[in-house]
Amino acid sequence: MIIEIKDISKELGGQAVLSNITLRLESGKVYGLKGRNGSGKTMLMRAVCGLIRLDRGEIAIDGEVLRKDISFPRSVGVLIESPGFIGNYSGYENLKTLTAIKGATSRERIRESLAMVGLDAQDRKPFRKYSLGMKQKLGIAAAIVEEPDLLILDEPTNALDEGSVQELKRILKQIKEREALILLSCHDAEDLLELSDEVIEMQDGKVVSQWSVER
Amino acid sequence: MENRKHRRYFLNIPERGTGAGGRVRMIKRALGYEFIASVFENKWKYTIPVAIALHNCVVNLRMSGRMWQGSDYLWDFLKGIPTVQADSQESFLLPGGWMAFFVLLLYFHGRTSKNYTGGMGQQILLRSGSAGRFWNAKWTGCIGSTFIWFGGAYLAIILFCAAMPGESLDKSDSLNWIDGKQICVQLFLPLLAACVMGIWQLVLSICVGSIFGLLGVYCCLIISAYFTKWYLPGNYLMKIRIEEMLESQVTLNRMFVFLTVLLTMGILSGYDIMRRSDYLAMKSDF
Repeated sequence: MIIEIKDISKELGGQAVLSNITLRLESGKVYGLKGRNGSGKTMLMRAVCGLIRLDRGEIAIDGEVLRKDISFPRSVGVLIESPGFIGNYSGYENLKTLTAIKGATSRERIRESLAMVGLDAQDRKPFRKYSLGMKQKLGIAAAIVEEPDLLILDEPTNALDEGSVQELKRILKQIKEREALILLSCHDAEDLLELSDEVIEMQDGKVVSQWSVER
Repeated sequence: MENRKHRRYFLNIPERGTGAGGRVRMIKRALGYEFIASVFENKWKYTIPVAIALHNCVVNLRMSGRMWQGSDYLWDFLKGIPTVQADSQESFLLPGGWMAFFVLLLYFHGRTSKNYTGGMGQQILLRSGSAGRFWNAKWTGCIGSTFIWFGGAYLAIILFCAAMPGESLDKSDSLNWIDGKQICVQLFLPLLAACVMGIWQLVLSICVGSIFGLLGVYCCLIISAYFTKWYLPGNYLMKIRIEEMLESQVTLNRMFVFLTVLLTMGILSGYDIMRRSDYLAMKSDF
């Protein structure tokens, strides 16, 4: 998968939230978005998802232009902001219902995804009774369950304990190994450096620098 | 080539690799999720029309002191008020049951009409793969929810009549219901009008947010109560008004065509607006 972001700009309420951004993202790599609050990281992720209409420029995924040729990326897993699920359903039931929309995920895969993030598929506890950390884990499981080619994670370590963060790092490495493209943002600079192959630094809606992480 | 791509996108024609069957299956699944999220998740809300209908039956029974026929209970439910004359001394007072029935129906529509960028809306939007499919799930869910709302109320009235002793459900009574005009006035037109208002509420919610969408349809409801005009859809939610319009030479066909055109326009506008919209601006404000 190749994502070509060509000179995109977006204004909200007269203020530029994305400004002349041009990037080329390739599969098999983890791109870490770095920047302060309001620097445009989440907005860039939303743009790649096709959730915003750009004022200028375009985003092409494998040659298909978002919001022209396709509405949204064909194979994408997303965790942006707080994940929303059906309150009365358990984690397993939620994923089963959600993946039924595309209808291409086995029950075994759903159980496996829940186990990967440390949730029990047998647990009948409804989502509304989940703790913040468990909600976040289910959000991550929902993003990875369909084995997407493009994975977008906005602050995935929020509300996770240290052990869960380590688990998440292991999951992301596994996903990277199957040549998926991962775009993530993270508050913790050390975690971001550890996880990313390339870091994209943003400020006031602009990309101010981009560099490869040396291992 | 470019035009063909745009046409395919606008008409929601399957993209490469997905046949028509696959597209229909995906709409059904998205609709299934939408139904679970908006209907079954809050299924308690459907006790409200049941309670309103039963309350209406009990009040009528106590006021008249005897059991009516079944059709009388059905006729009395959502009958509304006659046109208020400007020079009359009558005060403008909407019936509480009618008001509660539609105000709450539209309120619950408003609660589930939005949220496209976060939460469950985002999950359906991205997984359904196209804004058109997502819109299909949304408007079908809205119509389904309206049917359940009305169905709950009418079922409660039928069960009330069946449970009460007396001549409430005799044969001659049920024969009255075979009359097509009665079915239109009593059931079909109010239901169709409620669907029209629900769909336009969805469209307004996408454009101006769910609170303003809700206020918009409330305004339409109140204005319709003041003025009996065939082009104000709120009038079709009152059976008395439909009878009044029939007396003033507005035919059932014309009413049916008007509401169908309004419904179709709402659905097509929704397609177009969904396609062009910035989902970020459509965030939930409830």
